[in-house]
This record gives sequence, C-alpha cells and structure tokens, in this order.
Amino acid sequence: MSTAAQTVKPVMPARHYLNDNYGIRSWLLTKDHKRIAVLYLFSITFFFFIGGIFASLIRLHLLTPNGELFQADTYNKMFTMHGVNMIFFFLIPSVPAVLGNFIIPIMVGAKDLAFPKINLMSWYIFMVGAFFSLYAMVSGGVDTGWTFYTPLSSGFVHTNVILMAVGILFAGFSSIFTGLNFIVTVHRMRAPGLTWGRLPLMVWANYAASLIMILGTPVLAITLILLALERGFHIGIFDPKLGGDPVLFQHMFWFYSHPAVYIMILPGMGVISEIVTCFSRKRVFGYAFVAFSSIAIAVFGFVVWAHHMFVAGISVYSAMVFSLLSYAVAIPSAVKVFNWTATMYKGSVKLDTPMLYALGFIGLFTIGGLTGLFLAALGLDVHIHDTYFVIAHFHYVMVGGMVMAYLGGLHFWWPKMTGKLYPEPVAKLAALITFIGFNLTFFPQFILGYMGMPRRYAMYSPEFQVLNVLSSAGASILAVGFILPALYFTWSLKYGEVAGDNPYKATGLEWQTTSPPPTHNFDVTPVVTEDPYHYGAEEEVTVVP
Amino acid sequence: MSHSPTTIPEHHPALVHQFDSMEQQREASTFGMWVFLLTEIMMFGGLFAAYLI
Amino acid sequence: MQSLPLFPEQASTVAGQVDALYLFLVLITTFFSLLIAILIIYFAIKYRRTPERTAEQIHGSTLLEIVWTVIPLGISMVIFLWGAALYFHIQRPPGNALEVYGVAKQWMWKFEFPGGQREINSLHVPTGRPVKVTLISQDVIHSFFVPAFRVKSDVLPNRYMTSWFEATTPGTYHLFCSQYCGTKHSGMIGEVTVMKPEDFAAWLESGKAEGSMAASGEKLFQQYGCTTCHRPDSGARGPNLEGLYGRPVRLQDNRVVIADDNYIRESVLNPNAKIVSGFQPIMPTFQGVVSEEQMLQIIAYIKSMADQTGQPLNNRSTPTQIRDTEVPNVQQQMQQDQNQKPSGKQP
Repeated sequence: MSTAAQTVKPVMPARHYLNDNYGIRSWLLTKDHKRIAVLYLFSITFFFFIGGIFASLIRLHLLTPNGELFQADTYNKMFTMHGVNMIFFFLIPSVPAVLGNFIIPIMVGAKDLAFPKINLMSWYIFMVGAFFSLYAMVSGGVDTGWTFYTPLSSGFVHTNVILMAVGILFAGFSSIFTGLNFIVTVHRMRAPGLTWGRLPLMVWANYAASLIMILGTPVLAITLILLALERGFHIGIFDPKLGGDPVLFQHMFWFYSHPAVYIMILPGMGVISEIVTCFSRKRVFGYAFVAFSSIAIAVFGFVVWAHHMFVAGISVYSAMVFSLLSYAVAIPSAVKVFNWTATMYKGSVKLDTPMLYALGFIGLFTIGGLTGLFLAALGLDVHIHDTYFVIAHFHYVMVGGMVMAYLGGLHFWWPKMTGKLYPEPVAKLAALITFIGFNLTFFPQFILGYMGMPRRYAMYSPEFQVLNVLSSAGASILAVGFILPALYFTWSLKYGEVAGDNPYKATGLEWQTTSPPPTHNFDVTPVVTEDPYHYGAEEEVTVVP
Repeated sequence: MSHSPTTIPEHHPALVHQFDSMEQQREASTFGMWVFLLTEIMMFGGLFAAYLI
Repeated sequence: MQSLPLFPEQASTVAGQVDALYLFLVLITTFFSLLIAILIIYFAIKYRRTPERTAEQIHGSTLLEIVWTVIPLGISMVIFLWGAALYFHIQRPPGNALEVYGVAKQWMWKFEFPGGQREINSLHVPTGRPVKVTLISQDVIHSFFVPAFRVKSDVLPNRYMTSWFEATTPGTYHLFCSQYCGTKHSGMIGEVTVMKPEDFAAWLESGKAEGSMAASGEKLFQQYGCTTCHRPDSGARGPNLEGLYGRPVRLQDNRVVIADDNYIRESVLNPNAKIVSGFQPIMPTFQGVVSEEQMLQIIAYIKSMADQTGQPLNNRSTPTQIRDTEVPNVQQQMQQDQNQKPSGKQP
C-alpha cells in the first residue's frame, strides 16, 4: 500500500485484481467481486448502447408528424424495446451491479461480498436474461410497451411477449441475488469499528435499494409468469372474456415497477453523497437524515403504486390515499437535495468531472422530482397522464438524475477500478455536452405533454412538430455526450496517466488500498475509528444552532 | 486468492476466503438463507394474492 | 418563428381550474429549481478551493432539517388538497348530464346518442350543458382523452367507465386515444365538435335514421329471446325487468346491489356472477353473442321500462323487504363492482 505520492509520480501496483490471473477461465469463473463488476460493466454498457440506438431511431422518426420513417408496428417495437433495455438491462443493474459490486465490499472493509459464487451466478443469470431479450428483439421484437398492459399483451399482439418476459424474469432474479448479497454483506461483514452510523452513505443507499430489490422483484416475477400463462394457456386471470380482470395486471405490475424506480435512483443518490463530500472536502450535512431518508424512500416507495392508475378505474378514495402517499415519498428526496446543497456551504469546492455530474444530478433531479408533484396532483394528472409530460418527468429523474449519477460514479471510481486517470478536459466537455443535450431533448416534452400529445404515438398532430424537432435536435447532442466517455475511458486504459492510490484525496476505505486493488482487497482487515467523510480532521466543528 | 488472518485462530478447512471466522461464515449463511426465504414468501404470496383477488 | 403555444384551448368548465393548478405547480417548480441551482452555483464559486482556506466541518442542523421537511410537506399538502378536490369534481358527473355512449375498439371510436344518432371518430356536443360519456372497449384498454376539456378516462373491456365535461366554447377539438392499444394507436383519433345548443339540436334532428337506442334495444330484447324468461308474471323464470334500472336488488347470497349499467351488462355476459334471490341460475350467457353497442341499446331499453310501484325487484314468493341500510350508496356499489372479478367461480 503506497503512501499518497505528491512528489513522486505514482506507479501501478505490480499485482492487482486485473493481472492476478490471466485467461478467459479466470474471468468467467471468477469469484472476485471486482471482476464481476467489470463483467457487468461490459454487459450493461452494451445494452445502454442498444437502448440508445432505439432512442435515436425514435427521435429521428418523430421529426415529422406523419410517421414517414418507420411503419407504425416498427415504431411500436422500438419504443417498447428502448424501455425494456434501458430499465431492466441497464438502469436497474447499473450502480448496484457495477459500482456497488466493486466498491461496497471494500467500503465495509471486507475481502469480498458474503456470497461470491452467488454474485457470479447473478451475472450469469443476467446474461441468460439478456440473451432471451436479445433473441426476442431480433426475432420479431415486442410491441406492447415496456409496461405490457393486458389484455393487449395477453391476447392481442403476435410478438415475442413470452420470450421477452422470460428475459426480464431472469434479469429480475439477477437483481434479487445482488440485493441479497448486499444485505448480508452489510449486516455481517463490516470491519471492526464500522458501526452503522459510520457507514458511507453509498452503503446506506445501496442497502435501501437492496431491500426493495428483494421484496419487490419477486412480485414482478409472479406478474410475468402469470402473463405468460395467460398468453400461453388462457388461465383467465387478466382476460375479461375468461372472467379475468385486466386492471389486476396493472396493480401487480406497478407494485414492483414503482419501487423499481427507487431501486434505480437510490444507488445513484449514494454516489452523489460520496462525490459531493469529496469535492467539497467536507463531511456531509445531516448524515443521519440522509441515511434515514434512503430507508424512508424505500419504505414509502412500496405504497404509492396506484398513482400510475388514477384514470384506470380505481375508486376516488383509493386515488386520494395514493396521491397523499406520493407526496410523502417526495419529501425524503427533497431533504437529501437540501442536505447535499448544504454540504457545499463553507466547503472547499473543486469542479472536477465527477462533481460536475453530481451537480448536474442535483439540478436535474430537482426538476424531475418536482414534476412528479404535478403527476401526483389528482386533478392535474387526469390531463397529463399518458402524455409526453410523463415521459419528460421520468427522463429527467432517470437520465438527468440516474444516468448522470452513474457517469459521475464511473468517473469517480474509474481511477480506483483501472489505476488510470481519464483525460479531465475532455471529460468536463462531455459532461457539459450531456447536460445541454439532455435539457434540449426533454424540456420541450413537458410542454408537448401539457399541450396534449399522448405518449407512444408514431404519428402526431402537426402543431406538435416544432417541439418535436427541438427535442430530436437535443437528442443528437446528448448522443455525443454519451459516446465521448465510451471513447476516452477506453483510451485511458492504455494511455491514461497512472492514478495512484488516492488521486482525489478522498476518505473511505476503498481509497486506502491500491489502484487497482489487490484481489483480496486488504492484506489486513482494517479497523475503523472515524466517522465517514472525515475530511479536515484537524478542525472538527459541530454547528448546532 | 486465499488468505490466512494474521492474528486469529487457525484456518478451519471449510472457511471460505471472504470470511474472517467460521462463526461469521455460519451467521452470514444463515442470515442469507432467511433473506432468500423472504423473497420466496413475497413471490408466492404475490401468487396467492393474485389468485384470491 | 411561428407562435409556440403552451396550453391547449380552454374549452370546458374545468379547463381553467386545471390550468390554474398547473400554473401554481409551475411556479413552485421554478422557484425551488432556481433556488437550488443558484445556491449550487453560488457555493461552487464562493467556496471554490483555494490554498488559503479549508472547509469548515459542519455536522448538520436539526432545526434546518425540520424546517426543510415541514415547509415542503406543507406545500405538498396544499397541492394534494387542491388536486384532490378538482379530481372529485372531475370524476363525478352531475345528475342532469346529457348522455352519450361510446364504444372503443382497435382502432376507432363509435358514439351513439340515446336518440339513435351515431358517429365514428367524431362527437358532437352542445355548450352550456354537462355531457356524460359512458365508455366501454370491445377489445383492449383504450383511453378517452380530450385535451381541450382536460378530461381523460381509460376505457376498459370489462366494465363501463364514465367521463363528463361541460363544453364552453364552440369549435373542433382533438380526441386522442391515450392508452397504447396496438398498431394504429396513434391513428385512433377523432374530433369533438362543440356547437351552440340550437345548432346541436338541429344536428341531433338530422341524424335519427335508425330509431332511438331504446327502440333498438327493444328489438334486440325480443330478437334474443329475453322475453321468454323476463316477464312481469309471477311464473316467469327470470326477474321482471320493469323498473329495475337504478333500483336495489337482493341477491341469492343476501347481498343487496344496485341495478346499474355494469350490473345489467354483467348479468347478460356472465349471468351466474350474481343470481337474484329466489331464482335459479339457468340464464345462458350471451358472451360473444351481444356486441357492446347492442348491450348499450338493451340497457337503454331496460332503462326506459317504467314502473310505478316503487317496490324493489322481487317477483317471487319470499316477501323479504330490502331495508334502507342494506342499500349501498352508488360509490360503494361501484367499489363492489370493481373488487369483484366477474369470474365464473360460483358453485
């Protein structure tokens, strides 16, 4: 373990997890959480680009109102597969399976996760699911929308619904096993002295997300199985002609899929806590509040599902309960945003690339989250439900929020994972391009939605065209913003400057080991005596007004 | 890569590398099994609830 | 640059109220987004890293946490109450509404007025009077959306949904299907034409070709042989339907339900789901025989059957009275209809 080298140029450690063992078997049969994280990195990057290609085609098609580029059926398949890919094969695994897998064992001072073989199996299950999904895509596609509403999906389309459902089922189990691993690891494998109150917020956030993963995903599994049975064997659970209830599908589907969005965002919030503290050289403001907000979001997230169904035929009284609870779930997120902002106050702020992404997250997630309040307002939701307003809202939180958090985390921990630095000026430029492209793409969609443009429309009324063209223009810029990191990260592997153990002088156990870390993470299990984010140890100031 | 803890009692043959002691290993495995059972309850509970509704 | 509209036209009584709530939310969003953005930028500049200054390690402030929890909670409650009140208004049609019936199918809208006037992908309505659209789907879930009115309702294949509005401004407005329903989802659009009451009355006059819905329903009632069992005499095998509509009915399992549109439709398509007390479960199902449009006409006919007695429906021997407390109010009945799968799980 080399000391922080200010005067001496850092060198790569001689042995580390990447060069400890060579050969394809050592990768495909690895039990090392770090290698598994890298395997996931390749997989989900691949699916991000597949989903991105569909997005580009969609925005191209929507340049004109008459749907001249693709047939309606093709367009319907494209938005379905864009959604399925991005949600199940990119967003849900992204931070937990890549960054979480890599960093969390090290952050808690462990040599690996609790169940390394289950971790590897989780990746294989993911790949099986990915295979089914890809096969479903290339052999005809699916055109039900990623939400698979019945009875359309159970009896009216002739596309590969069951194949795709199987793919998602597998991806779901991958998620369950990752969550299980995290929970046991955090409970049972913390280093001596690392109490719950000293855990980095990245761990709290991923722990909360893991709770949702293990409790919610099984319901998705059942929903998909029942959908497949209905479609294949007509068991009569969702088909009204057989005595079933199509709205039951919606309840079951959203019971998972609403908490799923918190599975997606909570780990991202964890990343933001790590970045904002490091690049303000400050402990986080209100640690306990941020930690418990993660848990609160996970808990409340389970009781708001029917806010997707306000016009679907639920009773007025149910709707009121779900609307009220939806406002409750927004509050902990707001608390986090305020705490992160307060963390910068009287800090020592440096706007390196990870910090740019984190600040972008804070701004865009705030907008996205606030537009959720529009949708939770019953009387207003009647108008904007199933319009582009919803699309804009969730892209603000998922792309402006989650993807930026993922990219920020990737930039923050890239030196730790690879031992190399990415080129900072290009990275900053890419962050800026992404921010601009993103806003130009999705802000017009709020307006389109309020104007009444419904979602999932292959053709639209001509008065919507100007805003659609703006949005598509933005998408082309956003695409550049996403492609650049793929290029310069790859470049950095060979040509990047050597990073050294702790290029950002961050606290956290992961920075106390080499970059890249040795396979077993620590030679000796560390003992933790300090709070997380113990920046400025010499001047501890507690402010209690 | 397996590793012997420097100060602790000897290496039990069944101790896997990520755990520091057999006790930790047993506790973690037991806990893990309960968590898994919880996921199964959610799954089948969801199935039964769907049938009843 | 051509004008960039931000709102659809306000063409219903509710549109302005929805827009007001929207504007309030836009203001809140703008305020808080700008607040956070400005603070972040300000802090990033004012507290930028310099060699002379180190960061001040601040643990937190419970007071501040409470303040910025309570204030957003308070604002949220205001928004919630406003939205809920508006929703209550939007979801409950007033009693004197003009009725229209709509059947959605892949990929078109079919409307019919009680007087028998029909339209496809087009709906004429008058100003100054509430209009209640009763909707059902022949196949998948669709959604009836008129942006200019700010109303939307999913259209389900297993029970009727209603949507109501009162148009204020003559003109033509978009009707969109807003629940993805397959290939031509984006083509399932139409026009709502709002006319002044005189013009609307004239339009109604011109389109009565096939006779009123109730008259068509009566023909169907005979054609399908309903009169075989559903007769007023006490030996009839089926309950008397005269005066049934809207009245409480006692079922075999002692429950009391209201005979509304959904009840009648369910009784035709899945007769064993609810058996009237004192009768045998011998009615055959007409699933696949009666179309949704025909169903609506039959209901219109049943609605039109007058009854002066004021007695609850029970023309069998057991003279059990239905107590007032047993009669569900309309909301509860809607609840029961929703909660029950019309499944054939009866013994």
